[in-house]
Amino acid sequence: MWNIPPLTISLTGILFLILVYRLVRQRYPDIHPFALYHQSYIAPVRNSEESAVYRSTLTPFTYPLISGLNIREGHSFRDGDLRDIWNFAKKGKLGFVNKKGDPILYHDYDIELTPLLHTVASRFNEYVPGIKKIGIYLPNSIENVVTSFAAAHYSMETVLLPLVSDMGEMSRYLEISQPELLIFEAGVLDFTQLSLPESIQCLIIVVPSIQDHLEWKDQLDENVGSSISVRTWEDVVSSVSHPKTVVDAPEGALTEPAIIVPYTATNGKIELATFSHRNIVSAVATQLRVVPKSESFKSTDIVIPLDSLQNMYTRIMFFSALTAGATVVFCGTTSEGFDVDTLQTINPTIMIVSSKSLHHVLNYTPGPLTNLRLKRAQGILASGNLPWPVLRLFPKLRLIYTHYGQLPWQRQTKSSRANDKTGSLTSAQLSLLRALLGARVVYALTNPRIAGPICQTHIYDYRNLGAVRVFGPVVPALEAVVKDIEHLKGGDRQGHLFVRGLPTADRGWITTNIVGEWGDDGCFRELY
Amino acid sequence: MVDLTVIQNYYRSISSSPSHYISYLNVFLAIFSVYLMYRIVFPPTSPNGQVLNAQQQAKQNPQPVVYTKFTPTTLQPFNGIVEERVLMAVKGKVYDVSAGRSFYGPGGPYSNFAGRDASRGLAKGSFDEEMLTPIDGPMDTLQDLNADEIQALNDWEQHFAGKYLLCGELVEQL
Repeated sequence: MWNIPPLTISLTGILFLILVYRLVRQRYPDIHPFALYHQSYIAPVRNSEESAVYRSTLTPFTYPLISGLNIREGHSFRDGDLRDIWNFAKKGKLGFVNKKGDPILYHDYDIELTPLLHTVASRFNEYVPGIKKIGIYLPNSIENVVTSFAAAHYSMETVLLPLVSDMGEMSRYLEISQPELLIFEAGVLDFTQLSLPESIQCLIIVVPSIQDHLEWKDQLDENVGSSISVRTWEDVVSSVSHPKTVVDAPEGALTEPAIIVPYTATNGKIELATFSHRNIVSAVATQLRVVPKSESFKSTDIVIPLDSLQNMYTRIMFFSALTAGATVVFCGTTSEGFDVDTLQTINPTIMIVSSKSLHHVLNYTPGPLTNLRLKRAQGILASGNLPWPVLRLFPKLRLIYTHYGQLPWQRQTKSSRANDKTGSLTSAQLSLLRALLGARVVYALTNPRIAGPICQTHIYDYRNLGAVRVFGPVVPALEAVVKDIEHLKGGDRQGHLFVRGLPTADRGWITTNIVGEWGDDGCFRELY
Repeated sequence: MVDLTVIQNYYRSISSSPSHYISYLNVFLAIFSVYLMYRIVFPPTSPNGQVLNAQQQAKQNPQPVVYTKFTPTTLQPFNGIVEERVLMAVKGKVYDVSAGRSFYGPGGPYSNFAGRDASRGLAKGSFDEEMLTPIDGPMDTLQDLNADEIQALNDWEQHFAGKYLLCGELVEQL
């Protein structure tokens, strides 16, 4: 008979148990690696001096690009507009946290916000008869949301003024966009330096409730001419009782302008991007389709837009959250900062955040134990699964939306790429974020003339491709090519990015001022 | 001096006994178990075989062809003999019919059409040599076709558009 020592038997037993454990606990990656390396459909024919047309795998060639929300009406479907987004939003709640430690204050759509919206619209019409353009210079707040949706319901255009502190720049934004009414927060605009365009007939000042609003009003009256009437938000919402009957909103055409965004182009010129309802709904519908239903915005989600809603990307993401009926909570803190305490009281599941703010998380220096956990988390990411968060900051956080608006022009050296101060995130940094926060990260490439992203990371793409900025495939509402520029050849899939589709502010192929290349995997990326 | 004989005797005793092999096996089992446990706690960060495989496949994506304007002269070499690709013009549009090589390639029943303007032949339902427009002559305007022939030609065009890749156009001169 065999005489096997007990040590060998027990070691074999242990090994067997480990193998069984591996077999039982084996997790398949969230997505098959093959899909990660075939993220775009590429046209088989290309024009000379440009690459082939790239499309999302959700909208293959010969299929229509995403055009709208596909709202069922009887036997037909329609694309919808901003008013439909408001109706969808009624499934959820809109919350607001004023300052650190405060509880979330929820606002009800049917009882509070919808009547408020109609009141605001009728008051604005009273102050400026036949009003067409409303300038908004507000932080993320109820006033901001109500004003923009009031405008959308009554065929007015909303001008989203970037939250800049330079009053000269602000004057130029006002000059080019020509709003008739300007709504802003008390204390942020310096009227001694700001020159108002002649179109402005009314100023509406939003005063924090604690402060005396009359004081602010008197101060303003001194600085602006008598031809401009000055009101406070309190006047708008309380001076007259709510209209008894809800005014029927005029039937707006989908191509009518809804949101206007002035911006400074890369050449320093100030330009206007005008987005119609159609541009916006196609971008919103894209966001709800591009991510699988199980991962997308849901009515159970708590969404925090940390970036400013004056920014078109954040606003499209906000609209997408509303359309899905998610609960959206604004925090009173600034957009640049990352106030962990306030965020923890809200306990978000989805964050819409600027890439600059995410650098606050990346700057965290791990201790020896967290280093080991980080190593484990990165291993799990490499095998295609999402790890538990290394930093237990937000226990329910599952998804982070972030974006970047430019791509450096010239080929960069490794060191200049590492010291990049623009707040862009490399693939390695995104991977680190996933490990630290235990959440999926969707990184988008944006342009001021396009509603929503141009390209964005696949939600299950956890690959760490090193110190290079990778933006994923083009979104399913757009198709894209790169064209020859300087020494770069479109035939080598390198060059100047052009896109076409419904979310663009202009028709046809539009230039993006972004230079990059298509990788083998079908993702748009910075040039090596 | 250290007395080495004690150690030598010890090694001699274990190497002659059968437990010698067992002890090596034990060491191996222990190391392997520890390695597997380490891999469970810290999965490898380098891409696994499946990922590398996908990466390799992605590199082999076919290159898109450039949409080109052909003249009858520059189109002629694309008959499957001079050039590998088989191209064919129908109503001024050039289709890549390489996928239908057995029909249009060398030796196929329609091989006359390869690298040529096939419009007239398709319209008249004839695959003869005399249906082809001379290479150096002016392009066929197809003005003399009757209604049935035009119908037949349009049907053929639809067939090509649905089945083959439109990769260029045929023009008189560049």
